[in-house]
Amino acid sequence: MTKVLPQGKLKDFLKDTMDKYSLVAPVREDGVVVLKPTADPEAVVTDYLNTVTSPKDFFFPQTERMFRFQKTEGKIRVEETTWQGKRVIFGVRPCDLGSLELIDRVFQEGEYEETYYLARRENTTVVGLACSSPGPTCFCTTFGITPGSPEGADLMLYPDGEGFVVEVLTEKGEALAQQTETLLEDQDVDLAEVKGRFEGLKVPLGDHLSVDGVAAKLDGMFEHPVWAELSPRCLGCGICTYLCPTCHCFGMTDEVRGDQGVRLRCWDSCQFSDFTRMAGGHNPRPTKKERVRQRFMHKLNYYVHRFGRYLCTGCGRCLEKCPVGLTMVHVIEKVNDSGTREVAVNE
Amino acid sequence: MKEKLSELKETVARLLKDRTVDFFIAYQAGHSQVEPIPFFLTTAEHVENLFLNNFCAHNLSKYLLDYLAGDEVVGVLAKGCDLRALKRLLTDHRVERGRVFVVGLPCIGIYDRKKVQEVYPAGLVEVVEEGEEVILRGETGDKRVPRKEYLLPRCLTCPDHNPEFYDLLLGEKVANGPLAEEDYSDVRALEEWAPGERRRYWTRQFERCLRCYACRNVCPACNCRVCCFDVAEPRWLGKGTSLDEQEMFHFTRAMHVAGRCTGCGECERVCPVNIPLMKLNKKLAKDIGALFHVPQAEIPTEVEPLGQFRLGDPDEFN
Ligand code: SF4
Ligand code: SF4
Ligand code: SF4
Ligand code: SF4
Repeated sequence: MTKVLPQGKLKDFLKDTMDKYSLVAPVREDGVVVLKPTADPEAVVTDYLNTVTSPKDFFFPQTERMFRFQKTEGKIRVEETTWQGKRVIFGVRPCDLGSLELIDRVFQEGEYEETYYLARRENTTVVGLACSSPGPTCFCTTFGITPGSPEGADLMLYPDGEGFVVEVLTEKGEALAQQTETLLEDQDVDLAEVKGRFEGLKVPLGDHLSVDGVAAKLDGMFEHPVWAELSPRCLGCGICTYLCPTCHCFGMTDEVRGDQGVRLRCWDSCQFSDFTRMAGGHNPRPTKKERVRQRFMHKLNYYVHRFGRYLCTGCGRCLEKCPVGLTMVHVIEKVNDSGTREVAVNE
Repeated sequence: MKEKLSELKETVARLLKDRTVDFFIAYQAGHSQVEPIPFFLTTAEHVENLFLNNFCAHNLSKYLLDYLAGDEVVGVLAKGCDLRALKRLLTDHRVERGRVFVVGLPCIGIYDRKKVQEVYPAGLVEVVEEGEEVILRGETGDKRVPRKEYLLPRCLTCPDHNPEFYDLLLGEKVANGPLAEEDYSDVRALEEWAPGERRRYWTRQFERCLRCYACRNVCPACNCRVCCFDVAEPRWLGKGTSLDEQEMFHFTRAMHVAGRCTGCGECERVCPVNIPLMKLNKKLAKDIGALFHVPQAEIPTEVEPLGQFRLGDPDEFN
């Protein structure tokens, strides 16, 4: 027996969820679908290819208020902010589920744990939604993810006929299934068969794009002419890195008013001209060439050396939204096509 | 526009070969038909990859700011709107006329990729113009739609489809004059709303803003040497995102380009989260037009309405 959530019960599912959790879900706003905290199940949509903004926003928020400080009688009092609550993020696509695992490594592995991020991860239940029709910008399969991959979800929904076939993957998922149990019907559905159908779906772009050997090839391409060729058209904006579900660079800043202040950790982008500007004015990445190279080297080489995987899940946001088509697909193709001779003459 | 491609190829190859220009900025094919992308050509061989169709929206003259330090002569392809943007940079004394070689491109309107993609989410093969209609030819069949409804908003009210000046013109000039009158209907509609309603509308917009600065980075009127939003000390704008900071960003930018905005709509076109920036810009253009008696507030002039001082100013700022 497999649990199924009938289409007609979706709103009730979200309502029951909200009895115990706060809800973040895809909402259509002025023509774009964004992930947003919402208290209105009626506003939640499921007819999107993917949300413009990604789930990372809710684990690694654009602005994290880390602590407040106040100076009183020569002493500084520090008040740490802690994140509390139980939350459900609904409707996360397989590529974005995969991206959470990639950011987890950065904030979890090694000597230091990033407690702000991890507190949100621990207290959030992720509901995944498999993709019935991958779009022209999707290339998840390039990175071994499929339209049906549940890795990263606590509870996965597979759209099927008049409802969603439910797969519970973790304890958090189990708790949510219990919370909504009156709505889930036991039906005679073969879960493995349903999953197989999604996993086998064609992803035209991804199926033809291979990233095999790209990291190794890039080892020798730091000085390759490709960066000077690609970078002039870049606008140096934050679209690609801010929308990317895997980008995770930040900067710290204190906002001080009189005797008190707050320490903020804010998103930053390697594409901004001031990203690496030092006190004193020196900038080791002075032009677009170095900045564009950084974005792709980080994703296709540095991260791979450190964590053994590519820092991209083929979500297609940079394809859809970069105003000048400086996309992951374009760069992978360029690297694949670039001659080894040129590589050899460059260090 | 496509039909001008071979002439463009010949022209650019010649300009590069005889060293009239050091490099040339035009378009190349992007991920699909509806998204051509900027292309920097440095040798005549590159012309094989030139691309031209009625989705070539990007204003390429903004890139000139990246080459101020050198002494190259930069060739640039410019439609009527792009020329107004270039005029902005020239009028603001940011770019020297002698360092730009303008290849003018008469244009009957650029299609709005977002609108076309609503009809054809994937698989658009070509767009065929037939008078006031276009045929969107896709892998799965044709759709015939009214041309005007699929153009970028800026193209409907474009006052000059032929670049005002150029060093060389590609093809023949086209019939001029706006396709629709600029009646500021969007702005007027908003003005009718109750203040609370308007407040809610703009709050929703600004809260969605990512502060990615794409709007600023494409804007020809945003051509300051150092942008105040990039200055760390003093910090005019906090790094953190909040409604206050987003408003500070948008109001500062809108006021800073007021009277200098060319109405190109590039800011709104590149915004990844559909923030209706043109409503802000149009409101300011409309008010400037009315208060300072300038008929076309969006056409760059040597003396800007807000860039001059007159003893006889009516001074209605009390
Ligand atoms: S690659 Fe595209 S989205 Fe990224 S900074 Fe450059 S122009 Fe912006
Ligand atoms: S690099 Fe582009 S396709 Fe890859 S995860 Fe980031 S936004 Fe998505
Ligand atoms: S382009 Fe849009 S999201 Fe980015 S800063 Fe401008 S208004 Fe905000
Ligand atoms: S504010 Fe927008 S419409 Fe005005 S010049 Fe800048 S990019 Fe163009």
